Amino acid sequence: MDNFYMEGSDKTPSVNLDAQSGEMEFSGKSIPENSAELYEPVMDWIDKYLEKPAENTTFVVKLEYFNTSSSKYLLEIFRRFEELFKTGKKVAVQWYYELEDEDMQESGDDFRDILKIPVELIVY
Amino acid sequence: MYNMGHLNSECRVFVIKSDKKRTKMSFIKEIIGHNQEFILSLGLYSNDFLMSGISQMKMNKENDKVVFSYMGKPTHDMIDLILEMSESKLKSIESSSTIIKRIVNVLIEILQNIFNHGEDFSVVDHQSFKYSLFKRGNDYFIVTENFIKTIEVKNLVSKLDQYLSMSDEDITMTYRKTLDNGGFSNKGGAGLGLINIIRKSNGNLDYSISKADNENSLFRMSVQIKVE
Repeated sequence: MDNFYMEGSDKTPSVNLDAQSGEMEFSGKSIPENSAELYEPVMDWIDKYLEKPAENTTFVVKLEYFNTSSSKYLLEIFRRFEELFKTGKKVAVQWYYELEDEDMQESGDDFRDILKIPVELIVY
Repeated sequence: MYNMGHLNSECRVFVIKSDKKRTKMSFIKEIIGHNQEFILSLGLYSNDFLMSGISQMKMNKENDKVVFSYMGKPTHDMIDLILEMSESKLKSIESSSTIIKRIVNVLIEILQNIFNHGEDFSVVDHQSFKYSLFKRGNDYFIVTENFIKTIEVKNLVSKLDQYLSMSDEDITMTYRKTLDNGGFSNKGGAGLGLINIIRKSNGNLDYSISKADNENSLFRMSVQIKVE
């Protein structure tokens, strides 16, 4: 299947989803007024990817800002990968935060607390 | 046509009075970039009206330092501009990137909450929205005023009072539970905005509500971001 790429803007993240390597990345800002418009195409791609996933799926999140409606979609995406994880495939989330950015670290902790897949917090 | 006035020399407050339809964002950014304290107002208001608005937004004129203020109608473009200029101004006066990011994060939630849940701005008058970010001592205050439907007041007050009575640990648990279980509301929000604002400000939020007319109420909120 084709990879998914979306260029970022002042309010939307760069999204890079690689079907062959299983490497997924969100970076930049995710503060759109309409999160559904941004994330629905991403969810559609992920649903197709999950029909024939790579052995290892790594989700890299390097966000500077995100709003709460984006966090709902991020959780929804991770939930889909939780199902994949239960089938025995390797799935991991790498949550990057800048040194001293306590709030982004706390957000990573939130996802780690809620999710059953490994969430690694990495300083950059 | 644009009018820029040096409205009050003591406060070093500048005002652009302009007809919204003719306002160019690039012009506003250029003017704001040159001035430390700034009140932006879109609409051809009288100086008395503006001074009264400024007095309300600057709670203590002598010691407060305005980072950025705005009054007028909140359009998507204006909300983007408020965020961009507030962040840019903060970077010139605040050394902690953690504090800047916290303030901007709270601002995003407040402004998007107002846009999603506030009253239809076309039906209320030109005073429909006021915003001020200012610094008092080391701490920052975000003060907003907007109209909401009176019928929604009870629900809002109930939620605010519930969240404000919680400890930091409980508000974190509530945030995670709502993120995990809550669906999307019919206005597109995630129901998490208020909880996030209270969490990031450690509960330092005051609000007041007064009846504006038969259908609308004025909601005033002040959020304090403490700097240790």
